[in-house]
Amino acid sequence: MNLFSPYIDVLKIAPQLTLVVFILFFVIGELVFRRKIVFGWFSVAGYIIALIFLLIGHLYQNRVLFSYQIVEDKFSFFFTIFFLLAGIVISFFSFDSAEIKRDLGGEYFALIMAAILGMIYMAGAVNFLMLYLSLEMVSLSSYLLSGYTRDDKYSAEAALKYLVFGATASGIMIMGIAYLYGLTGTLNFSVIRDQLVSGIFPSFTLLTILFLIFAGFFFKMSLVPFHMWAPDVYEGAPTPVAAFLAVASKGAGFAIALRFLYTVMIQGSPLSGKLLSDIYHFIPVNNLDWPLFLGIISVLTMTVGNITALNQTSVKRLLAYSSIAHAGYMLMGFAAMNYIGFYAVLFYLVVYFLMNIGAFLFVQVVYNKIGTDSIVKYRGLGRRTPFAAVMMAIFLFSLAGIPPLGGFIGKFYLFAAVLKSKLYWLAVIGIANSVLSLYYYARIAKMMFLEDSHEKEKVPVSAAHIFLFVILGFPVVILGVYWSPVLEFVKIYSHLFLP
Amino acid sequence: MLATMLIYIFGALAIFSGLMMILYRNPIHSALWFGLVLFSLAGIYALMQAHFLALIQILVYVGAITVLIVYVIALLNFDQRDLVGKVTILKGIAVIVAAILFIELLFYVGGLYVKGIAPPPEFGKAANIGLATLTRYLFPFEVISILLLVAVVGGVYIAKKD
Amino acid sequence: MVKETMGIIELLSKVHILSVITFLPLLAAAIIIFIPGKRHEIIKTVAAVFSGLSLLLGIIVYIFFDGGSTSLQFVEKFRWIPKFHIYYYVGVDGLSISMLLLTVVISFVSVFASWGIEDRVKAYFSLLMLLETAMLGVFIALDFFLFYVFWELMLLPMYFLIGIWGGPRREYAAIKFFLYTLAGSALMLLAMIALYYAGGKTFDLVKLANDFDFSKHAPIHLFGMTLPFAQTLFLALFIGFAIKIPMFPFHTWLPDAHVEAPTAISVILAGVLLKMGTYGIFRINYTIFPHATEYFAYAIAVFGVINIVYGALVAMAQEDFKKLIAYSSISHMGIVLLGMAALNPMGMNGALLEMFNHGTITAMLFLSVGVIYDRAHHRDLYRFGGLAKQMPVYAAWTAFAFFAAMGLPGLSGFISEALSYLGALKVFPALTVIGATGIIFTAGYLLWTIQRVFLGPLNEKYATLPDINTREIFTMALPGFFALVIGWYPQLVLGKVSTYMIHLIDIVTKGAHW
Repeated sequence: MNLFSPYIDVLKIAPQLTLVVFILFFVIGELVFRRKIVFGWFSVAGYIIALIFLLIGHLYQNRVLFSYQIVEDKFSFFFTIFFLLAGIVISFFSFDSAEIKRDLGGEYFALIMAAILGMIYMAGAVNFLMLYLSLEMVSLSSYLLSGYTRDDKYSAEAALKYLVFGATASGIMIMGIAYLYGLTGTLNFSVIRDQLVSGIFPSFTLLTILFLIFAGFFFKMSLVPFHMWAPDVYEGAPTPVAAFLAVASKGAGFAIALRFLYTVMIQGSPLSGKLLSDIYHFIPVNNLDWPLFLGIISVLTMTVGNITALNQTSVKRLLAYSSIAHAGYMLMGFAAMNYIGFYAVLFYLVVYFLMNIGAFLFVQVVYNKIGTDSIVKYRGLGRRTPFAAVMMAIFLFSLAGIPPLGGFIGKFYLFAAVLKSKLYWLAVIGIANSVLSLYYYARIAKMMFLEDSHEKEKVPVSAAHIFLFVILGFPVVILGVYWSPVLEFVKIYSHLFLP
Repeated sequence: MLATMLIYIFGALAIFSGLMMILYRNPIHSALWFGLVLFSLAGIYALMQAHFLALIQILVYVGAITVLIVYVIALLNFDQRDLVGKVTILKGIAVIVAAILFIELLFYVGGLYVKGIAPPPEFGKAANIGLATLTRYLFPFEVISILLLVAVVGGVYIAKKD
Repeated sequence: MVKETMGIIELLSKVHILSVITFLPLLAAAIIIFIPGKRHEIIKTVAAVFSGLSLLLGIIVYIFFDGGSTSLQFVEKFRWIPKFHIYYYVGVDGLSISMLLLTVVISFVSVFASWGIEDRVKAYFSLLMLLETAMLGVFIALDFFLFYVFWELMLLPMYFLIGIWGGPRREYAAIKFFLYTLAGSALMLLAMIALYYAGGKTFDLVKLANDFDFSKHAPIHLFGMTLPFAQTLFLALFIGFAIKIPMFPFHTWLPDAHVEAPTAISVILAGVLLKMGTYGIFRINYTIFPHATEYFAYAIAVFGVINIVYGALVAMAQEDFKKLIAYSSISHMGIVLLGMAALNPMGMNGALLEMFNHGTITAMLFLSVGVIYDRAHHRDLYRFGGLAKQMPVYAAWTAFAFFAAMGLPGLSGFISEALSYLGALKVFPALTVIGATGIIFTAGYLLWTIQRVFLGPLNEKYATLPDINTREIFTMALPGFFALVIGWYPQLVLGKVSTYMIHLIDIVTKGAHW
C-alpha cells in the first residue's frame, strides 16, 4: 500500500474541502463581521464554489479515496449535488426567517454546512467507520440546529428529544456494526460483501445484526417504528431547519440505505458500476423475504404517517407526518428491487426536495407574519398572499400526487417499479394511501382558498422567498409535463461502484 | 486462562455497575457508578491487548468525563424529588423489548463462536495506532476533527450570552 | 368537390387542428392570468373568444370528419417521454368526434352562463379554461398516459370551481367530488401501469387493443387471492369510470357536487364530465378487454337498470330543484349503461347518442335552474308556483328542456332512449322492461315539477321576478338547437358515429382490430 495515497487524495475532494474552509471561516468570521446576513451570502458562495469544483472533478469517475473510506461514483455525485443545492436553498430560506433572525450568524451557517458535509460523506461512505462518523456529524449538527432558537422551550424540547432518540438509534447501530466487525473482521463494505456472499455465517445472527444496523438507517429515514422523533422535532425546530431535516437529512438516510443494500447486500455482480439486471436479489439472510420485509415497513410507514396527519392542527406537524408518509412511498422503490425502483427513488427525492421545501417555505412566510402555523389561521390566505398561496397549492397537490405536477411523476415511477415486480398488494395499499393523503393536503388548500377570514391584511413575501418560490415551484410544474431530462439524469446517476 | 477469567469478572462488573447507575436515584451516585462502568471497560480493553486504548479510556473517560459529569450535576443542583420516575405501561413495554433484544443478542450473537484471526503481534501498540491514524485512517481522523469543531461551535453557541 | 374536401382535411391535419382546439383555452387561461383582476369584462371576453374559437374549429373538424370510416382521423403523434414509451398521441374517431363537439358546445355555453360571476373573476375564468382544455384532452387522447394526465387535470379546476364559487356546503361537496374521483382514477393508474408491463411496454391504446390478448395473461396474486388478469383490470378501470358516470353505488358525490356547484359548473359537470365515464368504458374497456366486456355485459346492464329506476325514484322525492335534475342525470346515465351493455348496433348507437343528447338537454335543465335560482335565491320546488304567468318565456324554455329530457317524440331524447331500450330489449328483455318503467317515473317527476313551479296560483312573493334575459336565452338556445335538430335529424350525430360504433361491436365480439 502506498503510504502517501491518503495525502494525494486530499486534492480530489476539493468540494468537501471548500466546505471545510468555509466552516472555519464562519467560526472565525463570527468575531469580525457585524452584519450577520453576510454569512448567508458567504454560505451560498461556498456551496456554489463547491459545486463548481464538483463539476470540474466530475471527469474522474468511480474512484476510491483514502484507502477505502469513501468512493466517488455517479451515485455519490448525484447526492453531492442534491445536498449542495439543499444548502443553497436552505440558506436563502433562512434569510428572512423571523424565528432565527436574532441568532442568524456564522454558527448557524457553519452548522448547516457541517451537516451537509456529513451528508456528502454519508452518500460516499464505503466503510462503516466513515459511515458512522459522517452520520454522527449530520446528527450532531442537526441536534444543535433543531434547538437553535434558544429561548423557545419547544425548540429546546425538540433538540433534546432528537438527541435522545438519535443517540439511542446510533447506539443500536454501532452495536450492530461492532458485531458485524466481530464476524467479519473488517469494516470495509467490499470485504464484508465478499464474506456475506460466501455465506459462512449463522443466518439468524446475521439477521439480528442487520436489524441493528437498520435501526440507524431507519431512524434517519424516519421509517416506522423509528419515526416518533420527526413530528416533535419538525414542530419544535425553526422552520428552515425542519425543512432541512425533512429533505436533506432524510435524503442522506436514503443514500446510505441504498448504497448499503445495493452494494453489500445485493446478489450477483451488479457492482461494476451498472445496475441493469431486471430484478435484483439480496443475499439471503435466514430466508428473509426482502420484498415482503421492505414492503411491510413501507406500508406501515405510509399508513401511520397518513392516518396521523389527518387530524393535525399544526401545519408543520402535518408536514412532518406527510414526510414520514413520503418516506414510506420511497421505500416502495426499495421493495420493488428492480432498476426502475432504484432510479424512481432518486427521481422522487428530486421532486420531494422541491415540493417539501416549498411547503415549509410557505409555513415560514405565514409564520413571519402571524406567528403561528395553526391550520385554522390559514383561513383566507389565498386573498392575503395570492402568489405564495398559489405556490403552496401547487406544492400541496404535488405532494398528493395529482397530475400534471412533479409529485405525480415521482409516484408514477414508484408504482411502475412495484407493479413491474408484481407486488400488487403493495401497489394497492400504496395508492389507497395516496388517495387518503389528498384529504389533509386539500384541507390546507381549502383553508386558504375556500374559506374567508375577517383578517384582510396582506402577508408580505420577501424577495429571497419569492426567488425560492419561483425556483422551487416552477420545476414542480414543469416536471409534471416534461421530465425526460431529470429522468435521464437519475438513470445515469443511479450507478453504484464498489471496488 | 487467568486473562479469560478476568475478562468475565470485568464484564460482570461493568453490567452490575451499569445497572446500579440506572437504579440509583441520586445523580452523583449514578455518575460514580458510571465511572466504574468505564473503568471495567478499560480493564477489558487491557486484557484484549489494547493497552493504549485502555490507558486512554481511563485518562479521558474515567478521568475527565466522569469528573465533568459530577461537576455538572453539582452545578445544576437538582431537586431530588423531580427525579422520581413513575412506572408506566410504556416503560414496561420498553423493558420487555429491551429484555427480548438482550436475550436475542446473548444467544444468537454473543454465544456465537466464530474462529477469529489472531491479532498481529504489534496489535494495540501506540506506535501502530499512530501510524494507522496518520496513514490508512488519516481521513476519518480528519473527519473526527471537524466533528469536534462542530461540537465546539455548538457548545459555544448554546453557552454564549447575547 | 371531393378533392377540395381532401385538401381541407389535409390542411387541418397539418395545422394540428386537434391540439389547437384543445390548447386554445389553455392559452386563454395564460392570457387571463396577465390581465388585471379588476377588468372583468376583458377577462370574460377573452374566455368567450377563445372558447368560441374552439367551438368554431370543433365544428369545422366535425364537418370534415369522415363518418364512413372506422379509422382514426386528424392524428398527431409525437414522442413525449421516449424512454418510457409515452407519446403525445391524439386523434378522433367516430366515438370521440361526437364528444369533442359536445365539449366545445357545452364549454362555450358555460362561459356565457358564468357571465354573472363577480367574485375573483380572473381565477374563475382561468380555471374554467383550464378545465375545458382538460376535458377536450380526455376525448382526443389515444395514449393511456396522456389520457390519464388529462383525466386528472380536470380534478383541480373542478375542485376549486365548486369549492370557491359554490353554495353553502361547497367545501364538503368539493372534497367529496375530489376524493371520489381520485379514488377511481387511482385504480385506473394501477391498471394502466399493469397494462404497460403486460402489454410489451406501451401506453398506446390502439396497440394495446390490437396487439395483445390479455384474457390469457398470467393471473394477478393479491392478498392471497388469484384473480384473472383481464377481468381484474377491467373491473379496476370500470370502477374508475363508474365513479365518474356515476353508477350506483358510487353516485353519492353527484347530488352534493351539483347542488353546491355554480350553474355553469353544473352544466359542465352534467354535460361533459359524466360522459367521460361512459366514454372511457367504450374507449378503453371495450377495446382492450373484449372478452371481459362480454363477460361483464350482463352486470353492466343490471347496474344500468338500477341507475335508471333508482335515479328516477329518488328524483321524484326531491324538494330541491337542482338535486332533482342531478338524480335525473343518474337515471339517464343508466340508459347509457343499459344501451352499451347490449352490444348490438342499436344499443351502442343509442348509448352514444344518449350521451350526446343528455349532455345538451341536461345543460338546458341546469341553466333553467340557474335562471330561477338567480332570481328567487332558493330552489325549493314547493315554494314556487304559477311562474308561467310571471315568466312566460322562461316557462316555455324550461318546458322545452323538460320535454326533451322526458323523451318526447320529435325531440332528441326520444331517439336515443328508444334506440337504447330497443337495443337492450333484444338482449336483456326482462331487464329492459324493468328499466323502461324509468320512462314513466321520469315523465312523472318532470311533469310534477312543471306543475309545482309553473302552474297553480302565483306565489305573491315572486310577482316581481323579471323574465329570462337575452343572455340566458342564448345559453339555452345553443344546446336547445341540438335537442331539436337531432330529434328530427339524428343523422347529424349518428352519421358520424354509427360506422365506428358498429365496428366497436366487432372489436368486442369478433376480435376485429381497432
